[in-house]
Amino acid sequence: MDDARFTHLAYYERLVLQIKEQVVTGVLAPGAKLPSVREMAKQVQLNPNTVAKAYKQLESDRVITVRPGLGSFIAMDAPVQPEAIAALRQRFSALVVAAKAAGVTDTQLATWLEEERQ
Amino acid sequence: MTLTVHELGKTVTHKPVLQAITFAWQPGEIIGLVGRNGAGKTTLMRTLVDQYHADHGGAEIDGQLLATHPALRAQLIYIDPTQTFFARYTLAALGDFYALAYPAFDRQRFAQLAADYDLGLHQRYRELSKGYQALVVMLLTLASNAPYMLLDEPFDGLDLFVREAIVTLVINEVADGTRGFLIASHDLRELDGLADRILFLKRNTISHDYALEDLRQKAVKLQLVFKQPEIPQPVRDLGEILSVRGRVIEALFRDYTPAVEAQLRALEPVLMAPLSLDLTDIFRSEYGRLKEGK
Repeated sequence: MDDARFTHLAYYERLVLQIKEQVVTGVLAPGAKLPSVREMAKQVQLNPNTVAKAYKQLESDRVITVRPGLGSFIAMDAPVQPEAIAALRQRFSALVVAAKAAGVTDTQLATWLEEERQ
Repeated sequence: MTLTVHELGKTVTHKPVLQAITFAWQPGEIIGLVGRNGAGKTTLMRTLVDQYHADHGGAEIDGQLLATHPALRAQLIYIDPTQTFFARYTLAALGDFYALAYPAFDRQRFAQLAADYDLGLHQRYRELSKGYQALVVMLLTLASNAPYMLLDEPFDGLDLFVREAIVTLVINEVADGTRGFLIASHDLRELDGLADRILFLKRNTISHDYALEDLRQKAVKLQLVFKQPEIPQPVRDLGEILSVRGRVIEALFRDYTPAVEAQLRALEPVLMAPLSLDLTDIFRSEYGRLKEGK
């Protein structure tokens, strides 16, 4: 839980991003089973309520599906959520404006994007 | 089941050590009790289990006062790590003692946990290292099966291995929602990520009751640079200035809503970047006073 990029966030938000990143990079494949809340909490040394909150968020973001009695699994299809995408687009615009205002060049922005995609 | 404490007060040798202590605690919840040395953390724990009789109030379980319903004692466990009566006994004997006081004490589990950490039941408590003594206190607490477990400075002076072992045991125990922990510590950072809530004990009472994840979610620490040399007034109004180095301002915004963000952007900062939020930033005011010795 010490990824420097996420340290300004709440712990459950960090965990959500870490798992999303593992899905995006293929570390967690569709259908993969996540550890139980208790096991994950022990692995990342976090309060189980915090982990449960992250799992709930991942479920409502449709990144994972919960099969009662079986556990939590990475969703089979890439979730398409127009509302979430629209909100992200807005945040992205705001970020680009802030970056430009801070003197970040277009070339640098392109480099950042390239770095994140790898 | 809920444990409630209402207006608890305790005077020790004519000095009011605890005054008007009020809070509620559910199984499944980890509460951090934070205060500087001498703030009354240990006294509160002793009073909660009725080892010290409260002058006013006291712990109640589902509305029944522990002090007048002795059977409820088995619902709480507090092993005072500095006042152990049992130093010269073997771990097996300790298990026997606690099984007398706690009808649900699980001897098998105690033996199993001890074996997990390479502790032999024939070993005497006082012959163990400080770290292993802390572990034994933890294992006795867990084996008691009491729904409310009180730990007093469980990480104090322990190495990383023992610390992690204790954190893992707490997490494992609390996960099914039937047990709760109250963990006293002089160091807030020890409870970071572990506690649901933090009770600050200051000037004999609970000065604040914070839900940590809510705080973290709402609060943002920003690095800001403005064109003009002076700090714009809205920054002072909306947040707290933590430091100023040249033109670089570090400020904490406890309730960082989109409206606050918009107001800051309207000031056209040259730089506006989120920084890692340290719990000590949020509690700077408490810590400031703690350092001053009050």
